[in-house]
Amino acid sequence: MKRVYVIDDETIVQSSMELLLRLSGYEVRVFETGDAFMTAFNPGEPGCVLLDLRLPGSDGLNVLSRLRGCGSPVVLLSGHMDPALGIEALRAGAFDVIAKPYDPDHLLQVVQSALEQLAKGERFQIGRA
Amino acid sequence: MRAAREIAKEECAREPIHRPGSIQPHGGLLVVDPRTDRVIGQAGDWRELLGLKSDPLGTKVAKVLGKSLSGLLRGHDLSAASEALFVETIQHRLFSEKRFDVLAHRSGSYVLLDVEPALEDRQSAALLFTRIREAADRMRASDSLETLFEAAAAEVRSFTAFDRVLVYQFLSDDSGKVVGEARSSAFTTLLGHRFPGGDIPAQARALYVRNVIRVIPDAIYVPAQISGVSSELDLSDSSLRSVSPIHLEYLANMGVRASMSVSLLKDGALWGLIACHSQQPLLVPYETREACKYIAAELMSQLRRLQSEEESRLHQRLGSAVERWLDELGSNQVTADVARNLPLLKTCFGAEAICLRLRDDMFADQDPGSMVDAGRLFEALERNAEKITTNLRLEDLDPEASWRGDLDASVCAIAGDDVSLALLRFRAPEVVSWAGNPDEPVEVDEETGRLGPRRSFEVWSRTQRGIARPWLEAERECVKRVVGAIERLSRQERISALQADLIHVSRVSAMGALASTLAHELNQPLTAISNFGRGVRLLIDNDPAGNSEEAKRYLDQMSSAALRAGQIVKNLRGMITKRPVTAGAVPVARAIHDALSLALPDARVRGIDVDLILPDARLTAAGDPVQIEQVLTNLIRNGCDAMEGQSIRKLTIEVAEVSVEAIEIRVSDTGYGLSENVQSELFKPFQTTKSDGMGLGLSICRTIIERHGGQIWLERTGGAGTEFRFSLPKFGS
Repeated sequence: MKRVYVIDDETIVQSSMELLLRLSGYEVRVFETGDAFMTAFNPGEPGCVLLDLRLPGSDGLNVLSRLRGCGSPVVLLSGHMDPALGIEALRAGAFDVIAKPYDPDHLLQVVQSALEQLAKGERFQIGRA
Repeated sequence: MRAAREIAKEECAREPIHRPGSIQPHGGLLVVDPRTDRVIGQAGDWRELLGLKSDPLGTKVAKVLGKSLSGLLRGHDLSAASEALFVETIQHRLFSEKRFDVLAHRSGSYVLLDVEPALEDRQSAALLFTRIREAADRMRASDSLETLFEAAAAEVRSFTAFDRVLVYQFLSDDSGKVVGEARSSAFTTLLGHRFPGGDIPAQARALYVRNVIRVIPDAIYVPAQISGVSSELDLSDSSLRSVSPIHLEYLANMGVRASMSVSLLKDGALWGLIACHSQQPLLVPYETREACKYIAAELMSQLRRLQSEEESRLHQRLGSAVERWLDELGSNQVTADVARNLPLLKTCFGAEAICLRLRDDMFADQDPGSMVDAGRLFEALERNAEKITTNLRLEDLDPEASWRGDLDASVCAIAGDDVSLALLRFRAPEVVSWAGNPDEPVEVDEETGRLGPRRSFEVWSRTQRGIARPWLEAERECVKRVVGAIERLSRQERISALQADLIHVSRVSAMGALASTLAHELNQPLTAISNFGRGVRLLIDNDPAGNSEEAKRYLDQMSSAALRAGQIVKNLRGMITKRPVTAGAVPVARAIHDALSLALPDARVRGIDVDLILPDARLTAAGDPVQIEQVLTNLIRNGCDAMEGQSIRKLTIEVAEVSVEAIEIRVSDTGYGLSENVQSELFKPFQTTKSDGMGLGLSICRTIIERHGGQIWLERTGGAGTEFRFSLPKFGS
């Protein structure tokens, strides 16, 4: 269970995250928009969802709410993390929030613990308050 | 002794010279009550003068002069006359060749008739007019003051036969200077000599203004006393009025037997005198006196002409020098330019010291010997009630102050709110040839204690503080012009500095509003760099001997991400740094690109379509790149904000070359449009439709564009969106 979904609209971020995660031993699937991800996502193939907050079309919070109850942990990333926005994301059921730029070790740690919890069979109750 | 002299001077000034109670004996005076036509007062030897057998006192006027008062006046209105009028010529009872002129004037309720010897070989009026005309023509030919004064003296001499005629000018210290002369060998020259102010007491000067001509046909005379009326009778306008014994003594001391003086009036004030001296008794009859008055009037009119010509030449010369000086002042460092060019301005005005206050800054340039404290000078000037001061003596401005040092000068100053300027001309030492000791205008007889005029007219050369060249009206006008121009320029400079501050502040606040967007833009490449760094490290760790091509590719991407981050920082820094405005070539395409990268880096995320219509990518505008980007940033942000929530979001930026010298940039959106009341107030400060805006955006844009010599306007607005346009001069046009 080493699957990671990356959703970011910028090529350079996509390719760099793909590189980092792939070489760290994950299976990486990249999407440019939240809508593209939602279309392609199969809840039967759970993984850690790394979701950028700011996206064309449906934004990160919107995608997060649509993933409610799907069982995959969602980590929100943002280039300008407003504390209020972070709290809102956590309340909406995000596994964690990470501000860009981040220490790659920290990202890998969060991804690892998200996937560990997923492996323990904990279902994420998205929307718990 | 000094005290005695002071008392003597005061006594001299108190003498009631217009009420002497007597007349000079060469004529006779009748005081007539016009209601009764009777003589109620008289003075003179009537038996000797007219051959009368009895005292005229109490008789009808006709009994003395052959005609009643109304017959003599023949309708002349004495109350309207400014001086005595000639009314009649009469004969001696026995000797018909002895003729007398009768002059009439009012004194209180009386009519005073002066009866005085008439000109023996009386000419026709026509010939007299011709002679006066010729005299005036000769004076008009003068092209300098010196020749004019000399000509006037010569004309008076030819009409009167005085031995010496002087044109005498009063200087600002009340002393008189002989500026023109015509004389026979009987007298020595007095040209250039200075007579002390005390030689002519104050009340005599006042009388000189009232009646402009006075004659003493023979200084050695026994006055004829007035009888019948009070000796207090006012004789101001009588040609026969007896003069002060002190004056007669003064004339005698000078070797003068007969004298005449004609007042020279300029703008109603006593400018000087034409003073005439004869060694022998000399009658000056009525028409000769009138001719001399014409010459005096002509002299003053020619003086005014020459002075105004001189002044307009000076005005022109000084005016263009001042213009040239003002041209040297730049518009953005007026204070420094003015301070640097102060010595030149001082030279322009022929001053020895110049002091300038520009708000709180004080500058001075002074010739050696001048140690004026500019600050104290301006303090004194500001205490002075007059805002504009000309020909003020420094010692009168602040008599006590020690800051003047030993200096005395004539000041021309303008004290304003922002700018005060003072120019000083020194009263340099000069050698003056006094006609006698200037400190002894009167003498007190040691034995009798009696007051007497000085006896010595020996030349008394003395080096003393001179009179500064006076400040002329034209010079004052130029000083005003300079102050006005400096005030204007310094205000412009301040406005310009404030505008630059405001433009900068608005730029910083605009960048503040964009901070979160820009932080995101900056964090994206930084995130990528960090990811790539660790990724490449993993690549090497996993397979140290592996193919390095992949690693190289990622490293290249890292570099370009770093460059992208650097570019954003650079643009941002350009916008928030306060720096001098530059004027140069601004590539329009580049400016638009940079503005978009700052104002709308997130176009895609916000779903805004950006359409750039640029017919010629090489177009360059003239101006400051940062300020032009600031305007673009502002318009782009306004457009994007107006499209929030609209279904179609399209921002169009179009560049058009509208003429050989101008570029137009058009920014249009598909937003909700502006309401009518917003439109009219659009470019005024502090107007905003946004809840978080300060409302300075468009007013700042207008300030910037107008400073660039362009215009900004709202082209259209409404349901289909809004379009703003602005023009800029093309670079090099």
